[in-house]
Amino acid sequence: MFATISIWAIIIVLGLVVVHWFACPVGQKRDLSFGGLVRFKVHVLTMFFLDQKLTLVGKLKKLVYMVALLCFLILFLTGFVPRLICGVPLSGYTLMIHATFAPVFAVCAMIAIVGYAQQCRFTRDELDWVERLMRCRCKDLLCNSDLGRKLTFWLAAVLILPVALSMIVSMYPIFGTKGQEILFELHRYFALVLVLVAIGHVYLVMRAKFKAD
Amino acid sequence: MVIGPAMAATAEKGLGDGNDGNRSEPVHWITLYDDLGNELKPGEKFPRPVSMKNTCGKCHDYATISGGWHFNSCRVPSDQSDPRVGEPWVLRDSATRTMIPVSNRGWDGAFRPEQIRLTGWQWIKQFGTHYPGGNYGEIPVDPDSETADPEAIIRQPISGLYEINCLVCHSADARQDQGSPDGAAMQVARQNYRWVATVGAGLGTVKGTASAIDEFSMPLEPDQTSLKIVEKITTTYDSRAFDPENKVFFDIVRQPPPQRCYFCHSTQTQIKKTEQVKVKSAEQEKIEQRQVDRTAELDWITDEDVHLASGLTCVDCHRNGDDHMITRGDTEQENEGRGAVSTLSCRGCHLGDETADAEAARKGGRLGAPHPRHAGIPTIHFTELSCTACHSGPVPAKEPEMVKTSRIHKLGLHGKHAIDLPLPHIMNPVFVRGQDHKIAPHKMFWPAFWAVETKEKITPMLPEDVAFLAEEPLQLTIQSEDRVNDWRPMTSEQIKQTLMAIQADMPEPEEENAAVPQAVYIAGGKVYKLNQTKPATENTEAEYEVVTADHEAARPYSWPIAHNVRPATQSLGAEGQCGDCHATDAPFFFGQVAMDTPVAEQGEQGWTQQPQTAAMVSFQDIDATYIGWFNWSFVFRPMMKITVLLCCAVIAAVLVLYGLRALGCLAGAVSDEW
Repeated sequence: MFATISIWAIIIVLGLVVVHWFACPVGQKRDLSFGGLVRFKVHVLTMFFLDQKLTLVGKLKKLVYMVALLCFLILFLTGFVPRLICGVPLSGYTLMIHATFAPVFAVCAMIAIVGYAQQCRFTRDELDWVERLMRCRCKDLLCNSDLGRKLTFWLAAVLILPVALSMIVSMYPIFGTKGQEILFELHRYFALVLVLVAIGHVYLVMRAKFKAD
Repeated sequence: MVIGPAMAATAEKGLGDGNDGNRSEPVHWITLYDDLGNELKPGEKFPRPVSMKNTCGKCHDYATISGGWHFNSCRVPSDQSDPRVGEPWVLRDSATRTMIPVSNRGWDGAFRPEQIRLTGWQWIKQFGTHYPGGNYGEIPVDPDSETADPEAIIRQPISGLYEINCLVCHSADARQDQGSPDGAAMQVARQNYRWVATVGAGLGTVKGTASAIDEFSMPLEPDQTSLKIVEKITTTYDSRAFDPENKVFFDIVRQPPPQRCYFCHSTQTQIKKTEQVKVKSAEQEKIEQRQVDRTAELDWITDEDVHLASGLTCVDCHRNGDDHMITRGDTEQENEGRGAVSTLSCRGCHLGDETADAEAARKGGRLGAPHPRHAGIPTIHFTELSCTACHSGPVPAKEPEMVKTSRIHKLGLHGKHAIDLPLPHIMNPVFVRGQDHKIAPHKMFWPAFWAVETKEKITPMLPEDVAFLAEEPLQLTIQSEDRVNDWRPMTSEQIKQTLMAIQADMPEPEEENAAVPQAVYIAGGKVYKLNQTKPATENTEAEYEVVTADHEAARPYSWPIAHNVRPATQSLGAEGQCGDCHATDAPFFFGQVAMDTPVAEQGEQGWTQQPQTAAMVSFQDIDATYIGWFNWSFVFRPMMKITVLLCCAVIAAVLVLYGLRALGCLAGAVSDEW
């Protein structure tokens, strides 16, 4: 059940990202030649490097952000792949890797949230977007708004709490067997939602970066 | 016959079978019958002993009862095996350094009696003292059979059949005597099988010893022997036990008290303490640190099972119907569509059986069993561990306790036939992954025996056969007091000489390409074999060395334990104590199991032995490196929990802060509009 839901949810979100990418292209038309695709990939890759123009704090923030993303990727792979691809529960060395990177992710995520909260705060622009949305004048919302990026940032920040707490609380002798089962299910499903939100967030961050470049 | 109110006769069943619903116990003022089916008259000359088969069988379906768990192992077909391993019988002989686990149930690691050519007659001789009769004891020997044991053909008419002794379990009379110097066990030792029930029940005294009676002094016809034997082994009944109509009162209970079960199902922990002991030698007297056995003095400090302490009895859970197929507490046992049986297991009783038909059985809490919360225990524990892993047996220690059991060590025999059998060394608890793929506490010992290996298949030899072939190398004629870890020690050279002696007696295979049988010795988890280092020449004999190898048959024999159940507060992991099993040196995984063996080295200082051990994790189908790392992660777990909680607190604070600011912004924007 969980595996089916997860697979379909991830496919749908990735599909939406692809559709959105082509429906609302950033900047000039994409060069679909071989050379153009290689240049595009190199460009994407360089986005993960630290910009020369960043200050020390900026560099640290980006570094932490990148480590958080890396940890998140490892947590995703160790948490979802055994269940989705192999059909087995998380156990053995995979579990140890998962549990090792989880606190690192929590620390990095906390720093990133503190560091980027100011940038991602909602401003009057987003309020305007909301107003236009309510008046059904949502033209350009999907292409030019920062609302999605900020929304996914805060959503991810909110989701980290149940994902982390559901596991940490289960390690204390508070909840019985039924409670443990519920906490585990909560962890899984909140983690799934967090993955979906994170995919969207990373995509929108990259998109914003493209736009800035 | 006077029968109490509970029993109702039916057309098909005996008077005593079934139950009409009245919960009172039926009174047993009954007439006794002898093994010939005649009414017993205690005052007559040379009265015969009482026959439980004929006495109890008048009202109860003896044939059905004899199919019950306690009596049916002889009927298990040789191709049938029971995956639920249990406590075996152990064929022991300290002289030949032999400890063979024996069972006819096809348990993994145990040998069937026929595999080691142990006949029913020999089986009873070996194990009959702790045994309720029936089974092999009741199989009449067929003199015309080619496989019949010659000794049994001659001796069985003298000793009689060892019928099921119903009173062993069902007598509530405190005089029921199994282990005293004049009790039932002594009759077994004397091969007075026919008289066991009479003496055990305290109905009278028996004089004479069947094993000492010369068969040539008896008639040739077995039937005549059976008739005449009561003149040589005489029974004197206690006239006070009989009423004027020669009826006897038996204090029979449907539900046997625990004391009855204990005679065969006791476990005693060996309490050894390191103490300073004065050691006197010819030259001097010195004080040494030694392990001193304090079991006898300190046995009183041990506790009984928490269920018994709370008022339950063994048979509250281990129940049976007329068929005497006693429920064994399996969680997987048949539900019978009602949940009535499946809820007689740990899980079923405490948690209920979700598949049961009855609402009550689904709810659990049978007999007042508390519903466990298991707070903070991740659910994977319930798929990886049996209930007993955390709740039963002694709390695991770095080295498992040594225990003795009634049946293996013949506990409960008193007086002149009391015996102190230190071997086999049974370790308890050893955490082993069982056939149900769950880790459970087990009792374990390392088999030791001489055997013949043919095509990787190992067949143990009977001790007497080994003794016959290798009397000299095993030094059987020498009375030696030397002991190493309770074993009579043996060097590699002795093993070599013994193996050569056995090998020399082995017939060459008749077929040219047939596998050559090879003599081997198994002990301490290894198989010892001969390896030819120099072939024989015209003038010299071949030279050999002893080499060791691993083999399936050398594995330790282990069987799961269920009792004693400890109180919940003493269970592993209680109150979030993960370290009970997940400390870096937790005995649950890293307890060291001694690989018990008689093999030792003899030097000028005497006998020495390099103790070898195996970590418990090696019996759990778990990678030791992995579990080592995994348990290491628990060192950092408290830090991890605090770190993540702090991170969550900061994230929550940021969310609240910016949430409030957003709310303020929203409020400002809304107010601007006005």
